[in-house]
Amino acid sequence: MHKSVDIIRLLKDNLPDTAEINEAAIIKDYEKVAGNATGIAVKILSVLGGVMASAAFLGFLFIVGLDSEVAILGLGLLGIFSGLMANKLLNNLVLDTAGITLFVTGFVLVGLGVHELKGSDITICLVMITLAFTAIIINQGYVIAFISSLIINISLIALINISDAPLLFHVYNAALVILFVLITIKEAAIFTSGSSFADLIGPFRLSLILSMLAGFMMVSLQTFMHGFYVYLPQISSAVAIGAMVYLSVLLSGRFNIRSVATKVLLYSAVVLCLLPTIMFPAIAASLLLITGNFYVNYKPGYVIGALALVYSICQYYYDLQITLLEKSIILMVSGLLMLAIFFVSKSVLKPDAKS
Amino acid sequence: MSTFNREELRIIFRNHPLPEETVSSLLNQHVYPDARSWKKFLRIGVLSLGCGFMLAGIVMFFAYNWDALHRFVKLGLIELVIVATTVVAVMIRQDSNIKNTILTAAAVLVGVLYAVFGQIYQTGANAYDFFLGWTMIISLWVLVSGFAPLWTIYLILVNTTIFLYADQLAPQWQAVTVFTILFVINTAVLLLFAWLARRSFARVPEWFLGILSLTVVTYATMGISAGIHDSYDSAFLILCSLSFLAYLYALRHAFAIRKTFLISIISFSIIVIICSALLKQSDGYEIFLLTAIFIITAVSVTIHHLIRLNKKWGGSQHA
Repeated sequence: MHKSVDIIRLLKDNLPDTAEINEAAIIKDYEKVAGNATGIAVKILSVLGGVMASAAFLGFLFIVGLDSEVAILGLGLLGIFSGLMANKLLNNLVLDTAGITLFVTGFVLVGLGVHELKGSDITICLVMITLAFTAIIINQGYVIAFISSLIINISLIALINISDAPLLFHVYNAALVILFVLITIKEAAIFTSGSSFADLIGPFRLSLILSMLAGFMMVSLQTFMHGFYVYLPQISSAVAIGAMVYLSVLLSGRFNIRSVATKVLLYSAVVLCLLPTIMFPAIAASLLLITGNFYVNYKPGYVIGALALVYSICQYYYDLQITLLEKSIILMVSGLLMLAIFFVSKSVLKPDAKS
Repeated sequence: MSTFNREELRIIFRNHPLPEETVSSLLNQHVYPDARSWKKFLRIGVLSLGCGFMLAGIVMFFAYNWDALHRFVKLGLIELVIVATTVVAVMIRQDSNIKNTILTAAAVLVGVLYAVFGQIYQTGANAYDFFLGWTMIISLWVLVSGFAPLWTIYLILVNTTIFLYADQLAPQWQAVTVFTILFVINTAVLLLFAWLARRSFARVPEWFLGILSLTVVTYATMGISAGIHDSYDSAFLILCSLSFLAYLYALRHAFAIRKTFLISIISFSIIVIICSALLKQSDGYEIFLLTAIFIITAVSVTIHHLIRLNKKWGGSQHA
């Protein structure tokens, strides 16, 4: 990490000489950030520890025997509230695990409590969404925001399934794609907005990526759930392909591609490459995740996207209702095409070639 | 001045109002990839997809098990492709990464050759000797290339061979014995690469050492946890002793290179092992409560120390 003096110098370099800078505030914030600088390993450690401790604590509660529905519900709400408060008031990474344990245990108990009180599955999902949404408003810490937004998305997916309205998956996927593109291209605007969302962009981006994958996989993997079929997967594909073309337009602007012929070639290549996969939207979504996350240099995002792409392509060919020989020919032709593009474009795509 | 990361820039954005254009320009300058990075990204992407599709196509061609093709033609064809790919890898005038990527494709094709052989002579697709043969045949290429992705495939093959051998020929082996063997082999490879990297004999990417460390710690954790629940035989004692020594050495190394990754995974491994030991004691409610309290306390103490170390080491690992 740079020193605070370097950060202040960078700010000064980008301001007029007469501008006043609150150096004390920057140094204070720097010390707080540097003091909590931990790397991804600590975040994973606190989440894994929290989930493991929750499992053990739930084991304890069930062996002790909680019979009263109201007690389960009350204990759950108390768990969520204590988790939030522990996390918010102490604002200390060290105590994150205790907060997460109470928070996760609380959600499981609330779900069970509502179920025991004869609440329908839809009620459980709505209660979860409301509580998770409230949690994000009350506590804006990284891990709580991440877990809460995941709970909201899992509940939304469950709601679509329970309502037996699979076509709503296209609406869900479209909404997530729009949000993903917005936080990708409007990051500067989010940072300057002064809203508290600027502090949540990290956990929100990660949970958005995971939720997008879940939503597109639900549409693509038709055999995933018994008797569950999402009609017209082309709708989700069209949204993801549209977003890919939009990112290509922005990229051609960023790198000053002025030739109309090159632009048309670029956009057509994106559409033509993705059109054959229109029945399996997860492929276009994975490519969108790779491109969008590389666009903002978010490494975990494009690694997740790359893994999802490999899985999606394998699953797509596995599900394809043609003979292995036909699959083989298609794959080899695609491979040759890609290798031809690689060698032909060698001079254009050489890292040190002028853009 | 070197580039700043997103979190460092956000310290500025939070404390000083800047116009959106300036924020955007700072992000473009310091965080977002430039034209050179995009070109590298596209080159790697297109090459990986090209090689991946070609390999998958070849695998499916032979999986089709075309009756019209005589078995010698099938074997001859795949051998021809292997020879051609290897010749291209040696002769092509490209940088070493591209040559090694093509050689990796050839190494995967050797597996296809074995699979076709197994298909023709009905030797089974999951026989351990299938993987053993594949592993041995590509050993020289792996050594010569020194290419981390090819080494990763090689180690996956070695581990698969041992798993299948234990399953098919040594079913009497306890889980802890299998994990001990895997632990010893992977630790030896990890130590070798760490030594090569430290002596600058080879360029070993950090992700490769990270994956290998994670593998070794996983085997130690699973083996000792399995041993706690199954038996306390000699393999269990050997694994405990070796893991103890390996963890001590790794912690010493982590402090020397000032990285918290190894400390994190080793701490988590020890927490899981102690939880297994606690849960073995009884299945009463007290033990579950004690385990939950232990996990919270142990993880909190670990995080506290990791933050302190990170601060002391200059917070260089902020992600």
